Amino acid sequence: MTAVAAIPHAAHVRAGPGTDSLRVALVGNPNAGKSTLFNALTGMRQRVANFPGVTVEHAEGSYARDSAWITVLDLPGTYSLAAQSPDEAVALDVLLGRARGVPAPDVIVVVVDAVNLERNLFFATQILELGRPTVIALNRMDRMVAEGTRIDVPELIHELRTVVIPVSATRGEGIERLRHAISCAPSLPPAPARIGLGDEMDVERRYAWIADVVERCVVRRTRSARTTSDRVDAVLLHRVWGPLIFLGILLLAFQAMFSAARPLADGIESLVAVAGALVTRVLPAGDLRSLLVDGVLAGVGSVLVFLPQIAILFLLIGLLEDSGYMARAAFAVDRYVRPLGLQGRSFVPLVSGYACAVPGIMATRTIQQREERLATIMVVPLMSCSARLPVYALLIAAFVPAVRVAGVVSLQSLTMLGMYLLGTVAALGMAAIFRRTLLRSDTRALIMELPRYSLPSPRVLLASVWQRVRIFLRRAGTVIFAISVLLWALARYPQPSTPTPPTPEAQLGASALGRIGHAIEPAVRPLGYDWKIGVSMIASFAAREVFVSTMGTIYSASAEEGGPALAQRLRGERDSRGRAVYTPLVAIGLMVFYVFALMCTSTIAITIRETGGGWRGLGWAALQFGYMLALAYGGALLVYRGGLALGLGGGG
Amino acid sequence: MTPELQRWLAAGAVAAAALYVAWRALRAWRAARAAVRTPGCGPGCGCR
Repeated sequence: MTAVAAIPHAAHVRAGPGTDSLRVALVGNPNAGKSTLFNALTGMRQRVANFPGVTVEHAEGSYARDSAWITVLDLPGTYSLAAQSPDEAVALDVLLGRARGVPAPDVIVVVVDAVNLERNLFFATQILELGRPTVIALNRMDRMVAEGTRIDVPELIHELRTVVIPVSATRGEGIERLRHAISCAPSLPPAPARIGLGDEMDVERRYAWIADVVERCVVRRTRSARTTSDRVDAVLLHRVWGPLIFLGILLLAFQAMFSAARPLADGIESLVAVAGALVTRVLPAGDLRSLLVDGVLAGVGSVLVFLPQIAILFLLIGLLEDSGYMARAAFAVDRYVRPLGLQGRSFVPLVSGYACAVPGIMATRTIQQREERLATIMVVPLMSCSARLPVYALLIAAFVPAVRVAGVVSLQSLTMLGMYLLGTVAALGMAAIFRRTLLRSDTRALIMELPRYSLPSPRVLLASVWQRVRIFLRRAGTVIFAISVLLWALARYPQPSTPTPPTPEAQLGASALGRIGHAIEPAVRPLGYDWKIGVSMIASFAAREVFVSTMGTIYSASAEEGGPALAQRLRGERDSRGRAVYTPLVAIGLMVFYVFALMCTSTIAITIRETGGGWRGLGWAALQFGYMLALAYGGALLVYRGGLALGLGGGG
Repeated sequence: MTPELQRWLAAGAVAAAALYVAWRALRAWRAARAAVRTPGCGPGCGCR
């Protein structure tokens, strides 16, 4: 007997022509494979949106079948109907038809991870008791087979009294049968309340019933054998090796980022140079040529050079996440971060912060405890996001020699790792301070599911990398482009009225940008910076990458046309007394400033929203901005002054 | 292309960039104001 045979007489029900439509909600435990199944069902024809009135995202997609249009909603992962987090509350509201502006689904598809059947059935049985047309998609059946385990599906159908379709979302197996079952589900009589566990809160009785069902339905051939996954976990989750391996993987990632990206970055740099030469050849000297060469190409071009590094960073983050490693890294560090008042669950948003603080802060919604969630939100922006990458990469390329330590690890990668570690350690330290002062509460033990190891799908990986690359290119083509044009104008006018044409340096000094820079110079002078760095820092409050584009514009304006690349110009920059403006000490201090400073309006907006909105949200955002600025200035000051005191040299 | 024409074209580009940056700033300001005025889905918002 197959699973489909359990739904007799139903195949014809929705076969008629017309414009029938069905709304299907996909629900299930986190990591049950909902999103993969959603993509398999809808062929990735999806859009991501918020539910009305709340900020919980969901994907919505559709497919056509037998003249009917089936809309599929991918709801947030949920462990039980006793909703504990905002995500779970929204999923429940949608299922019960209580969500504003979202009609109740016609069919509920519960995605059950066959590998973790017992825990997944807890939620599935709760859904069945809602008495709505329900189909159970028994996912990851291929894994069960690979592990030598078999599920007696007909017996499971008999016990649950509902349609159960074995599927493998990653391989696309069973999808057609699932679509068929979805179309038939509304016409089937509702499942009788066979389970009849009554009180929703009777957790023990429910688990006892499920354990009994699992005992009868699951046939294990190798019951106590340690799987390969268990053996790998023993190493990756080891108290000593686990964190060390994590550090090693990060170091390897940065090394790959530097070495693999170099040829591509050189290619982009050459393209920018060729474009500059072309404009110079086509246009005679004048404002428009200067705008294109010194403003747009120098500004936007200097940021675009970092596109390959950013793409590689996201590829590596995606690899680590999709392979199932990232959750293990969270587990490996849990024992070390718990004394600080955080749990491993906070680590997932923190790691997301390596890509961008905004999704990192959104990911804190999985943290149920208020104080812990707020503390995590407050420190997520300290994790070095991809917008900081161009700043680090520019300064490291310019001032850290490309030598290898012990002949193996490149010093540049080590410096990059150092910046990421500094941000991470600061985040954990600040979290500890918040958890002992403003946000005191007990730390809960970490209960987190470790996803199975899996080979990441190249298509999904490339799609996520492309999404980040597109965001980066859009920023370069809009905000960074516009700011480069404005800064060019500020750096070019007013021009000094001298009988002979002024030198580029004299013209820059007399320009509006030069005057603004000299006005703010006293504020940045204690950090060892000149007015050009000061101006670039102020401009980068619009977006961090603007630091690089502003430096590009300023140094292009202060040099003759067709000069060397930005990093070389920085190395060669001298003050009025002939001393190097940029020493390694200044560069490290500058990087430390960028590790700590919150220069991102999107992060500020998301913090306001996620800390409850209103004046309270604004208060938290102001506190976040303020303490990070203080850390940034203090940190940069400490590095520069401390370095000088130690005789490391600041003026070259 | 005469220097005068180049100057006018550059001025137009700068004006457009200024307008764009002003529009982005206004949008960011409105988003922040909206976030302040409407309680979001955060700890203590009561949506649980």
